[in-house]
Amino acid sequence: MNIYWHKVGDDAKVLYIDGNLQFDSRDEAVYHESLALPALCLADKPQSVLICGGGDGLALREVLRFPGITDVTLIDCSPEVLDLARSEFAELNAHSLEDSRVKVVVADALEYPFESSRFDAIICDFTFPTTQESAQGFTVEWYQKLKHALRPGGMIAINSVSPQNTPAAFACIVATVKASGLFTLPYRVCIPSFRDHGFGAWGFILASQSQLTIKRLQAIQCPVPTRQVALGSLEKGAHFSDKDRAGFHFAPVNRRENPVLQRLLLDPEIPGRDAKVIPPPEFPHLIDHLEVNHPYHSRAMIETLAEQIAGSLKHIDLHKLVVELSKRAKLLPQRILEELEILRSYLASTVLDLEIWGKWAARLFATVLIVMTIANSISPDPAFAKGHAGLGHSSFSRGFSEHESFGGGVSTRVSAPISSQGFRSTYGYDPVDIYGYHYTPRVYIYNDYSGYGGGGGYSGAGGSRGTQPTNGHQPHQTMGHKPLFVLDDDLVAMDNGDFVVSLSENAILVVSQGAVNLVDVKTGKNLVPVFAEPKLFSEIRAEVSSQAGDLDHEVAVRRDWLSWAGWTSEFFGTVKADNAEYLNLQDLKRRLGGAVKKLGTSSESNVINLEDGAIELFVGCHILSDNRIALYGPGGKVSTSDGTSMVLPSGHKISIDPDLKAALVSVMKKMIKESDQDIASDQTDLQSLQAEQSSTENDLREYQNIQVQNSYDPGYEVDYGTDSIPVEQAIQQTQADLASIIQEQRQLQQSIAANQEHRSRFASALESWSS
Amino acid sequence: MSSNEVQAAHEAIDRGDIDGALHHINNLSIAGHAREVDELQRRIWQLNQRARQRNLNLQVYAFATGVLGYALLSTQSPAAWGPAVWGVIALVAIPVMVGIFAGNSLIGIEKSKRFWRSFFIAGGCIGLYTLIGMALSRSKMESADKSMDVVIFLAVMLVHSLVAGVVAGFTGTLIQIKARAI
Repeated sequence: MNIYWHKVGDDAKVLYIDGNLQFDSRDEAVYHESLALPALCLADKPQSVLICGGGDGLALREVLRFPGITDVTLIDCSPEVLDLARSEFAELNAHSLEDSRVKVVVADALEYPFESSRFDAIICDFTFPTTQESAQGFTVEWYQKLKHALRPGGMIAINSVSPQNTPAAFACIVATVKASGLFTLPYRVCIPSFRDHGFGAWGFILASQSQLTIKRLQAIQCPVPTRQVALGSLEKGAHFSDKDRAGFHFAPVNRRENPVLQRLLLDPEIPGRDAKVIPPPEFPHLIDHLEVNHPYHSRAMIETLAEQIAGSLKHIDLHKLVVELSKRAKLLPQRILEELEILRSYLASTVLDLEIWGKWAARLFATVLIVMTIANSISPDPAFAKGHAGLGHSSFSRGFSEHESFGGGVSTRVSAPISSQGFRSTYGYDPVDIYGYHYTPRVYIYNDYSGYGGGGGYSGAGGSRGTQPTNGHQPHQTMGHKPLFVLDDDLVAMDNGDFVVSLSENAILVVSQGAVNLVDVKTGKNLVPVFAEPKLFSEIRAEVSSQAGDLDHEVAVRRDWLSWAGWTSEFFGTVKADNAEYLNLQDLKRRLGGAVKKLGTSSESNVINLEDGAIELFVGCHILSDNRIALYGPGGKVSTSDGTSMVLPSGHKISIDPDLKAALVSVMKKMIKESDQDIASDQTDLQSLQAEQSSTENDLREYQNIQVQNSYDPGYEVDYGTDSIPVEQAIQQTQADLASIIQEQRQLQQSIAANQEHRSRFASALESWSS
Repeated sequence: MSSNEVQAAHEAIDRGDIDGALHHINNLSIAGHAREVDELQRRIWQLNQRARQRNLNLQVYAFATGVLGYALLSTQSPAAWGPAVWGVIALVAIPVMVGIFAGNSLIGIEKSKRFWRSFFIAGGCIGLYTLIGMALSRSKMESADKSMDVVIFLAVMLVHSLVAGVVAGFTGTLIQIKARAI
């Protein structure tokens, strides 16, 4: 037996025997009052008491406090503990061992001969059964011996194990006491120091030769005051679940011939009723030689307990062990497959637990998360095509695009999904393009021939049509209209469903209801109806259709997202904005559909061809070779003007409307400006091509020199770009490259010449009109 | 008497009636028939091992059902399935199947364990499915403010996992398809 005790603070003392906590003086009264007093209270006039174990004298102290006690026999096998009780713990146990009523016997209680019906109360205060030897104090044979020594009406109190941490072992002890022919009343008490040491709630058992009920415990009346326990409340700890109570009946009985208690203590995982299934019975005799350990051993304690290891080894019955192993060895040849099968299934059931799945699932989850994060960083959105072919500068006004029609926004059309915030925040207030960029709002003033209001949207083709203008001077309601959606640099869809093509700062074309009108954007004056060329309508329709397809995709993406997270919009502002964006996109799609319906189709069936020497200023407006301007109206009827007068289709000659003249002049200026820009751009490209041509010619000469120098080796390889190819092949490819460069130069030169020609014509016409 | 008890215990084990067998074993233990008790307990232990293997298989089936179910569901978005259809499949049908497998893998064990085992398998599967689905869906939205995405993902994942887990848990707890005696 290994004994270790130490002081905590000034007064507290803690005792361990064989590594197991015996008491902590700060709460030992909870333990000893709960153990001794209920038995004494329920016994019939107790006078003679037996205490087995309990050499520290603390249970004895409680017994001696009880009135009517005449003699107490304390049997403990450890003289060291008894010495401590007389010295270090004497004050704590109130010098109980020196009481004249006490007879102390140093002996093994299990072997001590008791007289029949000698004691009124028996208190078993054995240490925790760490070894099979110490577990002998919990066998049915021992309890039968106690029953024999108990007087009728007497009571036995048994210190047990934790019903919380080792329910199977506790049930086993209860079942063992029952098997001895005693009635039992198990109960549990929470002892702070025990709980801190990992024992959980601690279990005690009252046993008697007559029936014991919880009511008796509930009605207990203690004649002496208690310090740390209210005995009346002990009955609360006597209530056990159906499963636990079933365990008390079904648990195996701990016998000397069939000791099972230690196995149940070694495998505390077996819960309650399952304690019936004792783990692998193939190795019971090996397990019996293992000791029960606890996780709370401190360094100092381990050092002190080191001697116990040697002691434990001494206690192993090697002869018995070898005999058992020999028995197993004899059986192995016949049962080797079965043995291996058992081992395999045991390992499988032990190792392949679902916890492994849980661990791997967590690892898989983490891996997926990391891969997705990295993938998202490398390639944020491979799902979207980056090369969408929009109309770009293919202008509806035949090249009269204006890069900064609305200013502020980035209108470079590289196809991408909606990447800016326009549809989340400014849609409906500022014009927005398909990428979500918003533009500085600009109000267009013109007559609303459709009769639809400009501010509150429109209902597509469902509204009534207004009167179609027949000339540019018909008075009508002039209103300001806001652009809703920017389709291209110079094409916008208006909030009332019209389409507007920007020609210059002064002039726009309003395309709606199958008609095209030239409008002075500053005054809103309808200058002149223009020939509604069918191609213009089909191109607008195609552009809207293309972008509506993009919108469909974006709407679907947001619908998918909101199907996951839509319900959180009340909690997260960003989801609320996602929802607003989704609704705005749907609204835009609906409005574009209405606008296309309102656009209608051109009633014109003819195509107007350019006269010789004429160039197009915008759709339905040509500059003739003599710098006059031909304006084609509905039905292809043409009016011509030299900037001063205007010849109507009827042949009448009138003065030109100054506003019309100003609008046409502004378009010409715009054209000159754009032509200059195109020429400058082409010239820059041409210079690059010329440099490239020079470099390519150098490469060609070099390849030809190499070919001459290595004429003996036709397969001689040279660097070509990042490849190595035969020199002959390099020469051929370089010559092809050179031809391609020269061809591109020719095309650019032709383009420059054409632009210069156009510029010259525009400049000439502008000069003529200005004069 | 003891031979009758031994015979009765063996017959009870053959029937898969563990409680009955243990009752007889207990009687034998009290009577001190250690060798017979050892043999009978060894048979019960073997029975228990087979049951554990079966339980393990059922848990694997539960996990596989969850993974396959949500993999099939992920072929299109919840919006494409339609809220009602998606809800029935994701939050009821698959968790119920998972619960039947996972819960019945623990017959004879406390209901709370069966509940939590079913809960965690179904909840884990739908949580993973939700997280991946949301992340993929969100990656296509360039205009979105993604500063709160992690919190949103976790919130949605948590709710889906809770709902599916509770459905699976109650299924595993309440529906018992008693296993045949081994």
